[in-house]
Amino acid sequence: MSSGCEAVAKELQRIVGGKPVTITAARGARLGGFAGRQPRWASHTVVVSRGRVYDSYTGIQGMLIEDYKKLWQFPGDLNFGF
Amino acid sequence: MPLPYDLDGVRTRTTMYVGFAEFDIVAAYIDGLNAATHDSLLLGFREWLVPRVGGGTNLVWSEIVLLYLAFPGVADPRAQLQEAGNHARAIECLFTNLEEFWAERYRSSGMRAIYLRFQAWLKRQEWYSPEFPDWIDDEGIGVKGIGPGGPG
Repeated sequence: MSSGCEAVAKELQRIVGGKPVTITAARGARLGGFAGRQPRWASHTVVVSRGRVYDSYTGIQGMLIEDYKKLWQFPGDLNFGF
Repeated sequence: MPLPYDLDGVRTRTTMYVGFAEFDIVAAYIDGLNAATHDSLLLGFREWLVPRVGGGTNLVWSEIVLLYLAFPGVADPRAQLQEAGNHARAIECLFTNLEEFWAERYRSSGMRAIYLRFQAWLKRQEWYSPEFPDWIDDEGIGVKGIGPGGPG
């Protein structure tokens, strides 16, 4: 039922390596829109490995960091940590 | 202990406070109160909710209430919310849990118990490990990036 991004990140990390990173809001309590949806996340954990970001949206092919940040509605107001 | 900031009034006479008795509007009203109190109103609420429902660490508190408590096991809780009477059901579920949280938080050592329970729940999760960004080494009481004994 939970989006379970932490468990997904753990699994992806086993495959692609890298490290888990948690995206948080620099302001407000929510991360805002992501990929055209409003998931109502307070945080989102992904894996960053060799310049690519991996989560349940990207799958194991991942996405370039720059492209991944563009998926967010308010990227300038998020703490990406990468 | 009654809920603060006249929230009992919001619960029983919702439309007098927020116009429409809709779950997201009530949740936004409470979020507004929380912001006005510099996040002190809901301090510990997510940490209280997560072990209770067994998930939702990445979700905002209102989504945890909706998905796990108001409509557990429902494939599309937001669609369910639109059916007759379900906003009232979800709003009551929200206040029931908020009231229970509030009562525990103001018990002696209540807040400490809430966070200890949350920490114990985290430690049972397979994904929670030292490389996890929010990891806390509670054996050595070292927060990641800050050694035992804290900063300074």
